[in-house]
Amino acid sequence: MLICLTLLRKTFFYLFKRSMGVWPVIGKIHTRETVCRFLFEGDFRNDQSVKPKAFLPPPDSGELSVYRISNLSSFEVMSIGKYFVETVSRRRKPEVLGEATMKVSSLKSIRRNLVVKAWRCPHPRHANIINLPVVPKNQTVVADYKEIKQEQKNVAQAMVSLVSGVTIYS
Amino acid sequence: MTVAIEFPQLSPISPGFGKLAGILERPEHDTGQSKAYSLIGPIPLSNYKLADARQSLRSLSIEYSVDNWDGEGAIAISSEAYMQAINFIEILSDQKLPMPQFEPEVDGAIELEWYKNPSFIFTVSISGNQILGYSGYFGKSRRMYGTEPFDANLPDIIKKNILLFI
Repeated sequence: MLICLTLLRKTFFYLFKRSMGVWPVIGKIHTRETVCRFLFEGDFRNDQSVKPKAFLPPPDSGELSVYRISNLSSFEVMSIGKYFVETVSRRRKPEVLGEATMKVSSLKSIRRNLVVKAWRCPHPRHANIINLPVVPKNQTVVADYKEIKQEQKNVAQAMVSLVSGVTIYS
Repeated sequence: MTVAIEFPQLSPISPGFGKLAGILERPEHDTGQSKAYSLIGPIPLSNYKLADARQSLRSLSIEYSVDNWDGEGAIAISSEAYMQAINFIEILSDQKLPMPQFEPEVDGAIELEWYKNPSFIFTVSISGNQILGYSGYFGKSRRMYGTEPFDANLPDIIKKNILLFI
């Protein structure tokens, strides 16, 4: 009887966490995991290819926001975008229109120090790609500023080539 | 004598488009509404591309002419960037190089993009301060980025990369 109750409880929590898109996100991010970047207006072309600007971090930051989507169905991934990312986005047009996925392991081919770090705030599946070039907001030397900006753009272009799948929500 | 003819319903990818475009000139004031054109002599196809590129740039600079256009603090496209981008595409047209697509950048610059596929892409960033930023990704083995001064001439490295898209 006790065993049955325990099993029932475990099954309930498993299904509950899975439906919330929360499971499994404990521990370090494995290189075999898949992450996605949600796409907004202007982030993709008519042929459904992603533009590099979708992979540019905000100014003054070397971190790019992604979501861990291993073991999630396409509907669950879309739910995170539609019911969570849209509500926290500060963009003028916050509607999430799609997602671009990539393997964590592939990032190493761009730069050795590019890693994905779990950052479970504001969502348990949230993570950041860290160690991207940082473009400072107030850079006095124009040539230096432009050089770093182009470096950042080049990394974004490389990331686009690593995208393993693009889904545009209809 | 001016001969008015009906402009044929051809798209730029139709087989006869280039040939026909070579003998038709679109008047400066024409907005695309009229279908009558003058037959005055051979005009290179690149003139049409330049006119289209100018129009795209103008639309872009109007659409993104106010600060915070993205809701996250982006700077409006400056008139210097716009003028310099116009100069740039005129040089491209003179040298018969392919025209790019245009994108606004959050720091008020204009991005010019040549794109074949996700692994073959080249961009030039123009912000109106006589320095061009460029970045190219041509497969894993060939990546580049940097800056070049811009006056009346197209920097060699930028020209060389644009030529890859012909």
